Amino acid sequence: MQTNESRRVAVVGVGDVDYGKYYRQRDLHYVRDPYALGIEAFKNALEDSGLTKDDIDGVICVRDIKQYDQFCYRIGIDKPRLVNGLESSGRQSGLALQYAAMAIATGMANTVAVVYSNNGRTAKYNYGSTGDAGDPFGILHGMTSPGAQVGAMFARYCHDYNASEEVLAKIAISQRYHASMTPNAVFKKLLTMDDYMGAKYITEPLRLFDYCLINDGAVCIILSSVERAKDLKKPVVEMIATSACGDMKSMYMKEDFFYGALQKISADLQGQAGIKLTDIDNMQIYDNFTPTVVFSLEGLGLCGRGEASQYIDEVGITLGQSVRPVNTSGGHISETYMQGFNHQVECVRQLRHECGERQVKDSKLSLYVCAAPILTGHIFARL
Amino acid sequence: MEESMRENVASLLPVVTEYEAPFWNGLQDGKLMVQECKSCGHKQFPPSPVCTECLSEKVEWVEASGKASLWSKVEFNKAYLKPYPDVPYAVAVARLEEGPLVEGRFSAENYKKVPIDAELKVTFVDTQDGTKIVEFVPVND
Repeated sequence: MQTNESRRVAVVGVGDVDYGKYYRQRDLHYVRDPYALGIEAFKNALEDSGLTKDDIDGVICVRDIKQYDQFCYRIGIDKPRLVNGLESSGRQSGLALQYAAMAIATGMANTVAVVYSNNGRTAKYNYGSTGDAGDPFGILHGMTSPGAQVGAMFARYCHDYNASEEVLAKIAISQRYHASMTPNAVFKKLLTMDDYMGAKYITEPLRLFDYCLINDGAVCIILSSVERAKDLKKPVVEMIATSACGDMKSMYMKEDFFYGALQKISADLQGQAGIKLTDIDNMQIYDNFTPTVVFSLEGLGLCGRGEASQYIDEVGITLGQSVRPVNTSGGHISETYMQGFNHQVECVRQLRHECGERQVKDSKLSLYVCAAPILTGHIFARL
Repeated sequence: MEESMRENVASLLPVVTEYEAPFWNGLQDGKLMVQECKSCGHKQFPPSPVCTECLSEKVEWVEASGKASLWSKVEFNKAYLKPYPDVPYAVAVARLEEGPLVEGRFSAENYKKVPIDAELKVTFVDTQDGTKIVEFVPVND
């Protein structure tokens, strides 16, 4: 990344909504408005940053904010210098921050709001029912949903490394514990191994608690230069490294469990930041399905291939037990399915030391990674 | 579910383009077709208008040998697709002798008893509306 402070990139504001409250409102007779959700998160992020909307000269809309012109009209931003929309897959969340960072680093825009909303619960999205894994040759045979694709990868992984579903249970249980300390999380009741193993298979080998939840919500993340961030009220959180890598196959499933692409991301991030992954204080790992956490721990190089379960036992992923806890707000499995945006918000809050009882003590470096057909990763640092 | 209420499996077929048609026509004739590059010999599936290795347009359709091995398997306990309301059903991810991974049906019995890496062969089954799909079975069945 650049060294000039006006071109170094910081996250200056984060905003979201009360996911748990919205989830518990079960008697709605309407689909929650995706623009209203986005506006709530945007206003929260503005307040968090201390900026006004006149400071925003870039807007990137994601997922259910389908029309960027309609959204900008609704918040009265008339002539943004950077504006566009990204489609609804979770891989877009890391990319959205990268596009904002590129615009800031090149001077195309000074302060960019990335706004995401998801009304999947009230709009009754039935993921997997429309061939959203993108493989027409599979769907004819009943093979659908990225969950089934990840399940097939995990079944193969178990064969290759003599692993079992127990490793997934450890992840689900740990993340639920973290969510129990996250005020706005959807699911906060602790899970036991019996709860996990007693839950039904959705697509075997994956059980209910291996799946992301489906809920309504929104996130806004505002980025600007480090120079600007230093004039604002919150501690400065700099994006000190960022990397992306496509993994372009015809199926969502990857025979190497995303290993090759994750290795490139890991090398890029460590090289740009000038640190080792073992210097990281907390990690937020994209978890549309729990096996992605297994694949990411190994692909990043935190442990050898097939050794994620051992890593979880020995180094740990849980607050209070690990030097590098994972998914400290509960992730997609328990906190909220904001498709990587909630993970990136958690990186920022951990580095600002705003996390209350789930705070990782003295956090200075936080990593985000998403293993999907376009992989992304960032390292954020508290200056 | 009442048979008359089922959506046709054919509703899951994509809009077929010129270069993919030989695959879909082959499937309905009980043949699993893959592409072979006449310039470099590369075999590929899913299809492309060109060879994915050398970009040659001399790609021709050939019938796969039908020999495969089980790369992975899953069993659906949730019904995602309207033509397939009856669960559980299983899907095999098979590696063809020619190299590519292909998905096809797997019986519940085979899902339980056939281990990963087992040798398979391709068969074809008629679904309720007559649309043929691939089913993989153990080589000795």
